[in-house]
Amino acid sequence: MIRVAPILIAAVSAALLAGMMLTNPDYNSIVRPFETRVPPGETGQTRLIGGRIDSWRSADMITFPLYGDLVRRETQGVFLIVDATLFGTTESTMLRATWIGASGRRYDTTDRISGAFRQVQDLWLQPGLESRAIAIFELPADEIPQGALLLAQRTDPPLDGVLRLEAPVTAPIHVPMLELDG
Amino acid sequence: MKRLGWIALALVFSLLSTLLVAWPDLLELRRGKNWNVTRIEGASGELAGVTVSVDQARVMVLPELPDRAVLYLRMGLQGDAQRMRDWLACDLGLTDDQGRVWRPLMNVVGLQVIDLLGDEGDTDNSCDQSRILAPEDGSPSMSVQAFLVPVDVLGKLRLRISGMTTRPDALSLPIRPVLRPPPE
Amino acid sequence: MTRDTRPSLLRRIWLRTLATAGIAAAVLLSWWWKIEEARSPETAPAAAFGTAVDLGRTALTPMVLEWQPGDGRLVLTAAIENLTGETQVAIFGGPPHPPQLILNGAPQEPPQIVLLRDDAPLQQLQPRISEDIALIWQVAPDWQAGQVQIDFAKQAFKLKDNLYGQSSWLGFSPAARLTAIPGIRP
Repeated sequence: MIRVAPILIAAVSAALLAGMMLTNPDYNSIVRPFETRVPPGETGQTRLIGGRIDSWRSADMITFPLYGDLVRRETQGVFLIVDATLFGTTESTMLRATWIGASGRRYDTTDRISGAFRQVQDLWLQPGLESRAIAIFELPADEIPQGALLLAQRTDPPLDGVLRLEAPVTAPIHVPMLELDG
Repeated sequence: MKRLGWIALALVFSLLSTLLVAWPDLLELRRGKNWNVTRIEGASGELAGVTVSVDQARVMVLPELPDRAVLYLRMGLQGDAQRMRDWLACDLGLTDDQGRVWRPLMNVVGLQVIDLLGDEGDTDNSCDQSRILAPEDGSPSMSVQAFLVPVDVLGKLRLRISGMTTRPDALSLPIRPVLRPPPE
Repeated sequence: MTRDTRPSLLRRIWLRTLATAGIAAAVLLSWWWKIEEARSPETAPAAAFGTAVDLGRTALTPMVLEWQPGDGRLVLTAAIENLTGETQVAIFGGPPHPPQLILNGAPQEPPQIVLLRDDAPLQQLQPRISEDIALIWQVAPDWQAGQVQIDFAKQAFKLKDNLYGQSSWLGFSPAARLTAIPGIRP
């Protein structure tokens, strides 16, 4: 009868340890950014980045000037253009913008359109200054509603604040061709 | 009583092992930030054997965007060439009294600001280049940088500078920018 | 008094444990070699036109192989699709292992990869948007069109790696080999 207590203690400890091992979260779920969710139309702020979505548009085709030529870009999906006002908080920050689609897939700003029309990936946020910026994504049309614009630091450190601006409630205005001009 | 002693010993050892594991991270944290900023009110100061001096600060408010100003800063590093190299990297920014930091512009706009506000025959070295390319005669090694700042902080700005290996020590010098009229 | 010639009990147990461990190690090792062999096949499976090849992050479907003697270009057109849930810049893995052309047993320089749509270089691949691309190899114009070989490499993904338990892209292994005679377009 005297042997029961130690066996019980050993069994309970083993069960506890096994439970800890089984429920131990993996690296990817521990080391994640701190996400600040901002409802549609509101202004939000995280450690280094603040901003809001002003408007959004979609287009089948985009033209823009590049080294004196007019370049035309088409897509098998659709171009989504998000206009935002952004501001820095405490330190100069370079940005990376991602569209989180309705399916949860992540679309980076497209590399296929380059030039000086204040694209968010070229912007350098400064403390105390507001800047207008546009973010252009290339995605299937059904990823647009219920999506969100995610703004993070360019280097995307794993444990820093990121700003998630939810998509506006009204659908974006669609144009067949959008001309960007400096 | 004896049992209590064992528990105390176990606690001490668990604390010690935590400290041992955390030690490299604590050292990294100490090196990672400017914890110890020396404020100087003159135009030059010394940091880890290198004399840092603010040579010129000029500012211009562009009429289209009256809330912001572009700032041009020429500064010099002077000292033993090896000590300047030992810094490994410059970490500089303009700070205000609320602890906000403006970093030098490393883009086309930055180069345009330096063209607009700099002098003829100015160097185009950045702080890191001036650290490595010090003149032979021991005179200050100049560098130029451009900033974009709000107009309302212009009177409160200070230059904060440190090197990768001088941290946690950093130096803070006042900036008194001269206002230049915008180009016609 | 008789002398006990049998070894002591402890010694017997020790010997038997050692022998068992040795046999177990030999069995496990040969089993592991078998697994390794199966994991990295020596000869990659044959690829065919119109069938997708899994490259890890992306799936590439070879469509047409063409020799353009006028420009000295060997062109493989293909459809490529992103298999991950995020925009890919490492389309052929990281470090990049683009398809490798082998002519007469000699590996060639990596190809130039452009979008068929507007001849812009392929830099990003968006999820759920398949792109038609051309892989262009510069080949000496006096090359006599014959059988060519194109090797595809696949990068392995591990959800929990052995270092930090984070998801990682690891080594490359041969994914497929396309053997074909290019069509000629003057």
